[in-house]
Amino acid sequence: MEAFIEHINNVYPLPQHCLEKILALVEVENHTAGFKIVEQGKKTEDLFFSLEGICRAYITTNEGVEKSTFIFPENSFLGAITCLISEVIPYATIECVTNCKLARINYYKFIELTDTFIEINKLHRANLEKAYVNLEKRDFELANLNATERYVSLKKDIPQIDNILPQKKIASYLGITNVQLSRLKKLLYSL
Amino acid sequence: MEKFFNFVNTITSLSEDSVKELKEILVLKKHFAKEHICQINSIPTKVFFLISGVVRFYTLLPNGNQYTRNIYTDGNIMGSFTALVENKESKYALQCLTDCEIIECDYKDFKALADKNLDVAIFNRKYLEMLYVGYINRNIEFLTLNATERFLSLKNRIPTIESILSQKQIATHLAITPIQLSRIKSKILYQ
Repeated sequence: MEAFIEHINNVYPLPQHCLEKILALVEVENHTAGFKIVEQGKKTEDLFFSLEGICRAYITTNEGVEKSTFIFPENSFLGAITCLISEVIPYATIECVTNCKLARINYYKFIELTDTFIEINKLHRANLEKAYVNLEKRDFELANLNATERYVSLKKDIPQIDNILPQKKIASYLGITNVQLSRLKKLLYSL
Repeated sequence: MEKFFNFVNTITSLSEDSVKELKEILVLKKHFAKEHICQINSIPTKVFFLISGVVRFYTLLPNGNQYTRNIYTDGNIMGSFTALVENKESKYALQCLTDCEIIECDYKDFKALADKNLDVAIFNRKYLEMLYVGYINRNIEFLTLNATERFLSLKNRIPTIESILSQKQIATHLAITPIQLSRIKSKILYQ
């Protein structure tokens, strides 16, 4: 939990009574690699914060193909956030890639707090702004970087990525095929 | 101004006092086609609401090409948010594509009001969530739709897009080459 409190203090330090309101909603849980915390098609109300471990979101397309959409590093918020906001059924699955220790919080109860305590609202807005900045970065990468550059950027965010995620899942996150990924890695490491 | 407050009402309800305070920091301006309301490499201070017209959000790439990240139609909030949030020089520009009527507001003044009035804070929270969802949907489109599907999705959102933007600008928005775009269009015409 210390990592969670530290994250809050880094984003927007809260007065003690507000911090306690949030912590009262939080449950810490341990999951083994492969556990699904959100399932495509199944209603969810929870937002998570990764205290330890890496998670991945993926979509299974109508053709049955799995596509990685997000890889969440340690110490970040994760969840079917767009679905929570829009109050729709998740269109993606989120699984633990490694063993994970997660802080779970009911999103709608948290939103009640943000709409009651202006200090908690400020924290949430600061988090949303940060998330927006990350999305803009990802959009730019998807539209303008080539696959090698996107791979290098991912390695920078999560250096151990090749050890924790199968090649196929990394390739779909980069929007390329397996073969393309191994070619570009060979090229990269022969430099 | 009425159009803006109608938009606000669809998101949340504001007290009379908050409406009055908000009106004091909003300025309605008219702009001509081609005019910039936010420049690349300048530190932005304002957030905008588009009353009428079409605006594009774009950046310059190292190879000299432009990347059109977004195309706004009336009734949308606009701004170079990453630069506003980080108080840095903007990588992106906002340019009017047609004559436009735009409401502008100093972002710091708006945030100060949101830090003071809880109902404005809730409005701010909700529109940040809307921006977040919009970005995620675009990123998901990149990963799950092919270029033809992305083009159709854009046409669906802005049916007049081809009379507003050049082929090259549409192509960069879809992350394809102009040649690929014209192939896609002729393929669609045949079907």
